[in-house]
Amino acid sequence: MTQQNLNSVDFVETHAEPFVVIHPLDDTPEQKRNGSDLGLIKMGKGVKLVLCVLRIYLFLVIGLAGYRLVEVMIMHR
Amino acid sequence: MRTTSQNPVPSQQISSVKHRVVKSRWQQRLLLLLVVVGPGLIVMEADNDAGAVSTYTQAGAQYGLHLLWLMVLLLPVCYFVQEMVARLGIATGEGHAAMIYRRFGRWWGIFSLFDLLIVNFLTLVTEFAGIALAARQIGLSPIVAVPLSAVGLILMVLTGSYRRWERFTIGLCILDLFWLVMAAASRPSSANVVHNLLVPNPGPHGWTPSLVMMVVAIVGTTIAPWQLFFQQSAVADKRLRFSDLKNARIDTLVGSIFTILVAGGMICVGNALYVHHIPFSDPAQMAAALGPIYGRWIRAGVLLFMVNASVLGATAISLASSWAIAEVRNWPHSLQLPFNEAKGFYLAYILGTFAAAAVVLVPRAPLQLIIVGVQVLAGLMLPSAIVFLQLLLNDRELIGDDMVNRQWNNVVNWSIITILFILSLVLAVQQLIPSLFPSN
Repeated sequence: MTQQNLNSVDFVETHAEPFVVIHPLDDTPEQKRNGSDLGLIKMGKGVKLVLCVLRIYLFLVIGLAGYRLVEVMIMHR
Repeated sequence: MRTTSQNPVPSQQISSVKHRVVKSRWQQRLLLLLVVVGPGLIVMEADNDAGAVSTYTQAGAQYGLHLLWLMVLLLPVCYFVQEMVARLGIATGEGHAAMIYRRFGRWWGIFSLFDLLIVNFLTLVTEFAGIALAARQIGLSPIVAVPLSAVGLILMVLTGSYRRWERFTIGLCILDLFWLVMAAASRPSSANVVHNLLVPNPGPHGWTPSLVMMVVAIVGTTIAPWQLFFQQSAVADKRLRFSDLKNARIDTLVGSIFTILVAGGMICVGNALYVHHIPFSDPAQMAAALGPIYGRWIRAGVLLFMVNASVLGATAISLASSWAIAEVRNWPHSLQLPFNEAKGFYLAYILGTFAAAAVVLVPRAPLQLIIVGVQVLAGLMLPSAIVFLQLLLNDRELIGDDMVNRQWNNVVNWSIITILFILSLVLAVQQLIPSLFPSN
């Protein structure tokens, strides 16, 4: 029995019919959707576009960091 | 147990698991909320770490109460970002690093993991630097205080009980409310506080470049990349259920309000320096300067709660790293497990903690370079982590129709992400090419 099953039931609110609370760590583990059988995400246009923008951003910042590193090395030579 | 449903729940099924019986639906809802509260509150309050104490008090010392409105604006940003994390954690039962690895492949998985580990390690060094700074002001040698803190941080997680760690950490979070007491004791003008909370304004000198950088630094401090990884892993470790989603959202909202209140308190404490025209160099110096004006307890309070902030930040950041490594490497990883059953997970935590503490104790360690490195790497890390989060929350195939983002979620979240991209880039460029930014 899980808290989810208990919540889905409409209990009668009387002293004789108590309500039950189960801590998540004490509860029966439930089936999750972790995609272990799905493989990689489908590369739709939206996903491709977002990843492309992310790559450009990362190249830009890493490039700046590289430039700064070279500049500092030259200064300290 | 009789119910109004056609399918009564047999009591023998419930008795097989540990449970608590209460007398009313109201009590049941309250208790369920209390058992779920934890990851959201901790992730938010742990973000008020040593770096945050420094940034917020500096903001108060340099600009008075003029940036309080920014904290109000950041409240929904914190909530919307971390709500996505809680939802993804509940849906998948796994951490963010594992999901990036699984759905976006090895390259993005390794990039995210290594970037996270480096930025977390450097941030951890700054937490120990905060402890060393406060210890020195208290009159305690950092050589004693830093290793002691490291041992304490390790003992916190070695109990083999997620619940014990969570309760202890929530206790530390609640202690942070003392910042509000110190803020009240510094007697800021109530009218000024209300005005600056409600009316966005740059203060008497207008939008100077240094004010813009302070705004960027506050945003960068309030939303850190490790938070995404930490909360999702904590939600997974706590095994929150689909039925806990509503309470997890409340937990996240309470945490957001809590962290913004405490951050506002820190700005008010810093404001005391602004009012008395005392220059700011670091929070420990601030504590020493405020002592003669407001009493010795304020001095002790700032120093002690700076240590508290560092400890909170350190445990959350170290856990974010060790959860991420263990998830990607497929090692057992849970605070519920004893050391013997999750050696890789615990060793990652222990080694990271000791190594960061050791760096701080190295004479003339390049702490300034480390702080710059943290900000640049966070600039790299936050946009990528948050983009993957948003893509995973739109991954219908993975998490199903009931858990994916609604259209309004996407509008709000993409707006937040765009702003964070720009601010992260500005912060990274400012750190890398400071000559591009005039000093005033």
